[in-house]
Amino acid sequence: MISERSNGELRERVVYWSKRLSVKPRLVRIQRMTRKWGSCSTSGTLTLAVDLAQQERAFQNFVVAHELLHLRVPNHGKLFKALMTVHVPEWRDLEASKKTVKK
Amino acid sequence: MNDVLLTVGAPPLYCLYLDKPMRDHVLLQAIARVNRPYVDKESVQKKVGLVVDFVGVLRELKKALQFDSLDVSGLIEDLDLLLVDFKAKIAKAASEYLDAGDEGGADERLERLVYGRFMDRDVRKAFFESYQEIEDLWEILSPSPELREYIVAFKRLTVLYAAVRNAYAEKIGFIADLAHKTRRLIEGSATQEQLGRLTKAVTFDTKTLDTLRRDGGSDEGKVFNLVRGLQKEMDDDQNAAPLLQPLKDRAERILKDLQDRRTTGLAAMDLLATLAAEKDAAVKAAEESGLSRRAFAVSWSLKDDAALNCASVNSLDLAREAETISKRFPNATVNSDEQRRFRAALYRPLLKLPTADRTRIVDHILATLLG
Repeated sequence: MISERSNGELRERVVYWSKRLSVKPRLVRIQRMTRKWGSCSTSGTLTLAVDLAQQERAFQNFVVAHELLHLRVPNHGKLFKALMTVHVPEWRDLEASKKTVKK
Repeated sequence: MNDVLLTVGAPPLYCLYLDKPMRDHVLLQAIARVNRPYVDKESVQKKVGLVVDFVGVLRELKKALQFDSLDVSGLIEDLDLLLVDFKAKIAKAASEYLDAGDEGGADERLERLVYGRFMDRDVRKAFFESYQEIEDLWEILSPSPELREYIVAFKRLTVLYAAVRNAYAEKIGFIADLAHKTRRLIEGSATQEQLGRLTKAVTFDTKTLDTLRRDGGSDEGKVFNLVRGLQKEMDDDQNAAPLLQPLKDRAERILKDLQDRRTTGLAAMDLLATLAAEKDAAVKAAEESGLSRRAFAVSWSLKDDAALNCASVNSLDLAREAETISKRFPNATVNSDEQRRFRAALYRPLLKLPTADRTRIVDHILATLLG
């Protein structure tokens, strides 16, 4: 039950960020992931780790925005980083905190 | 294949054989390559190109051609967002960092900025980060007519960035890393070397120090240049390094106090003047002694050693003897057997000393002479 509710919250995040970034993921999957918080394929499949729901809201935003932004910019170049800064200004700190969050 | 696809001014292509799977923009580019109408010198017209598909990728073509006006408008929206971000950031940075008052010429104002608040390491770090973000945005957005009114501010920020990077670099001749388009923008007006004009190699001695004191400009800048000058002298002459190292350590401490604002530029210059006088005295004494620079460093560093004085061993005599012994073991640096015998020979003039002191001094002599 808990996981269904938290999945719902994560999906809400995805809807919010999809609108804000004007992208349309083809499929959103929330599943157990052991090494990453999320991934995004060129065909438009967004995958999020199920335990992301237990993380703080700011970190969830960072992961969801990061993955969805890949539908716009498929790499981690200057453009990607600049857009991340516009949408999630504190993303560098969150990225640094990623290492301390045990995955 | 990609070379063929992207070459500008390539000869016209009449027929394209597709023999490997491609999709999206790569496929689109490939088809477009054979798709250009062309009239040659003899007025022979090429109206169509032929695509021969061996792998059945043309099914993908439909998808590739649907490139979405949505994608393009999405990118334009992104760029608009970034432009707004750029404007906000450059305005903030300009008001925060570029205001140096109206007094003095351009160089003086720049120097005042560089050795003013940027003395603080954290301020420098924050400035570098904010400049990097602005530079990245510039690289993405330029060229664009929207940027025209920001060229002056961006150039001034870039000059300041390079000047601060250079001024606080440990060595002279450091060249700040600028991104491609930014470098091109700056090249018209100033070279990288000019940007580094705040950093000069100055000799660390009393004469230069006196001249510098009479010159205008900030004392902080002079302190940095003097300490860098000392570093350069050590880098250039490895043999002088042991003699200069203790002075360098003390100079570094003065520089650190200055950076932490525990002392003023003027006071730091006074302390450096004392060091410079010591250095002059050491160099003069070294020349008079007729010893090599390294051997003299031994004598200079041990001249106030309590254990030696107690046993009434003169440090200059000791250094002279050490140098004579060292000539018998020219390969001591690389040959461990020679080094062992060199060490043993050094014990002899120190027999009067307690064991611990003897070992300490022999270690010191070996380290100084062999580097």
